[in-house]
Amino acid sequence: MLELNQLSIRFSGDARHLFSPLSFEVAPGEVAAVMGPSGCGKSTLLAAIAGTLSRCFTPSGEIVLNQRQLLELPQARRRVGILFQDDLLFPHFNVEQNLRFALGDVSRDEAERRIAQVLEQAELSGYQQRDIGHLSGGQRARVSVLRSLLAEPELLLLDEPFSKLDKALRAQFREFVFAQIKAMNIPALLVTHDHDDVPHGAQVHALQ
Amino acid sequence: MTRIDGRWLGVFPALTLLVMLVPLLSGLWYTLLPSFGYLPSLGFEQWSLQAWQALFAHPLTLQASGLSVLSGVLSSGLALISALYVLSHCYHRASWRWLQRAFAPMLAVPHVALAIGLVFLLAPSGWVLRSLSPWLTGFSYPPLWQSVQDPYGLSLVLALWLKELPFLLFMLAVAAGQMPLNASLAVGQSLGYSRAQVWWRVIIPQLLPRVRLPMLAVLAFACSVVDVAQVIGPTKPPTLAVLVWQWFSHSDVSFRLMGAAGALWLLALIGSVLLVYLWLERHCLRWSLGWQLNGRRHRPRSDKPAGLLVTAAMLLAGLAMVVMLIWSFAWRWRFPDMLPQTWQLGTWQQAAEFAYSPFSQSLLLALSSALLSLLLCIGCLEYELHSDRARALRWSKLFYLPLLVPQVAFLFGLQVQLLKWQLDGRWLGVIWAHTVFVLPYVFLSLADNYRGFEQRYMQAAVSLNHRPLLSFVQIKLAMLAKPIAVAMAVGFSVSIAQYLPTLFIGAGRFSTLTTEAVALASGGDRRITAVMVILQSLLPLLVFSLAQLTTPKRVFKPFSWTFHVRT
Repeated sequence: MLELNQLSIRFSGDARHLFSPLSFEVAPGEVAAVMGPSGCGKSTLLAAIAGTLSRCFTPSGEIVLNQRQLLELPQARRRVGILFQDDLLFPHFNVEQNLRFALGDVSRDEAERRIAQVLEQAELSGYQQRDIGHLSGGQRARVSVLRSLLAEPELLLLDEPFSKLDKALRAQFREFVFAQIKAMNIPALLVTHDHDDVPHGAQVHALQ
Repeated sequence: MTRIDGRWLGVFPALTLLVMLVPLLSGLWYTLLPSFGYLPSLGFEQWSLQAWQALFAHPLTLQASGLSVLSGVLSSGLALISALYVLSHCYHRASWRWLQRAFAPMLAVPHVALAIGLVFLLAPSGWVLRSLSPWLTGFSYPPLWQSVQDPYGLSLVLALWLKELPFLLFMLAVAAGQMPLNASLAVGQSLGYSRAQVWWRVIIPQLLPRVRLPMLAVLAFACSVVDVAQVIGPTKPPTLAVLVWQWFSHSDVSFRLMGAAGALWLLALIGSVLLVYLWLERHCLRWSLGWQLNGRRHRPRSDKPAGLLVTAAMLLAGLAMVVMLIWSFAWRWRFPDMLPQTWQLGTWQQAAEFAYSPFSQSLLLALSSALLSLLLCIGCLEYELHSDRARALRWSKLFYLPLLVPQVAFLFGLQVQLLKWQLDGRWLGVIWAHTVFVLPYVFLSLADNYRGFEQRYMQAAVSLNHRPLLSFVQIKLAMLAKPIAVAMAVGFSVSIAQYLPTLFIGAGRFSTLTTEAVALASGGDRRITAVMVILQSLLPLLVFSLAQLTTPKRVFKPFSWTFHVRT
């Protein structure tokens, strides 16, 4: 469960806030959306939750994830996964190495088994040794999602992850991501400026 | 790394500023005091203006000053103009790739190696005259010409020009790469201007401010260089830097005071040269505005002169190295024979004896100063990410300061300071002195690539494995492996080429390939000199080649590299 209580962000040394305070909850398996035009602070909000906020900003309020106060924790201890517009697969690793990087301290056999398993779910069986540069855009996007989820995050942040894909791929990939979130049963927060990306019946918050 | 553990990184810029500025400032201070008669460690405690009076009363001072400024300004000016000319004709043309590859090794070769090679080539007994004798010149003995070490410093200008041309060409190419070059060229040419015209009228005026720092460093270096001037520069009088160095190493210690005054006088001269350059850079652009906008179109001029210039430069440098190689295998080689009568492997077989110590000391000094510089630079650049970028950029400019101050102006003072701390003649002291000159180049070479790294890779990595330090090594350092290796190679070759820091701070206990090569060049055995120079050039070349190979090809596919990292 993710809870935001009066969460707000301002420039350090400046009283003005980027947006009016946000309060809402996201249940496990649920995708909530935050919408607003470019430059309204959507990505900054995600950075505050992920723990990558630049020092130019000061957050206030509370972010609680499964009873843990996130603002007090460094990024490494928050267990928050992020999906960006770009897949950010590490170019010097192949598919398997990228996925292995996200797995915790597991044995080699176990790692191989789980990687094969998730690749199969994503219809990428046998792609372990593929070079990242030789994948299509859609394949890269899927590997990127698999990688985020293998780290077993307690929350997934989606920073316009669909915006760089073309229309045909987009709907298909969206369904894939939402199904994965459902299966993992974790809360997810999506920022976007496109209404099509928001799942039906999801709660939508506008940043002002 | 995450925001929270970023604060301790402030140690790096603090330490780096200390490492860079303490030697510079204390060095200048302890040069200033002796110039006014105060040098208690040698028993001078009487404040006076005597050193300054003696300096300006000395019969050689004025002429030496003129030689320093003229040879420095002439060589740097010519290097800049020819680099711009070559760039305007060759950049991103068919010949460019070839040109880059051919010039790259010249960047790694130390200045003094090239200078010694030129001496072997151009001296009266050198290869050029041998090839023309006796059939053309009629000489069966080397003539008494001063074709090197000429009193006007022309051979010095040639050597400096030859070495600075590739450096400026590369710096200009890097700066040009950051500009919307193709768009400017397309627009300019669609308006009827030739390619070279677009370069001179539109691109170069924007380019010059971007290479201000390298150009200032080249000017300061050329006006104050000691090793190259000792090898190929005029002797009676020598350039001011050499004269000052002779005073500092004079057996009569009272000359040290005049040396200090001379060093500061050189500093003032170079300061004025740099100010004039800055003034010219600003005003030339304004004055030439009328010419830029006069609307005249030329038909494209031939690219041949540019090609000829480049070929000549490369031929000169290439032949200088070839003649060096021949000498190292020569036994009897009488004038005017083109090739030795008898060959031998003896010099190389003995090299294990006479070159072992300089080789290993060079290697150790270069490795440690380059590694130290790399560590500090990465720390500083990482700190930039976690702090106010604009402020960080401002203080990092201070790193370049030692490149703008003549070495001879503060190394004597630094020696005095390190003597007090009992660090002179010790590894730590010499490594420190090298680092002062290595670090700016490492920073220059690494900064753009490091700052261009897509930091979201790190955010993604930490969100995946929750281990910032491991991610830093496995992701960031691994992805930046090539620029880091290249920066290391740059630092390594800068250290190999250092002459004065080793001599001043080493207190005679350190001999490197460079100090040995310079010592041998004035009258030593040519065969041994040749071996020393070849080793001195090979070491940096080897490290540069290793830097190109360090990373598996898969790690740095050009596509992912340009697409992700340099955006």
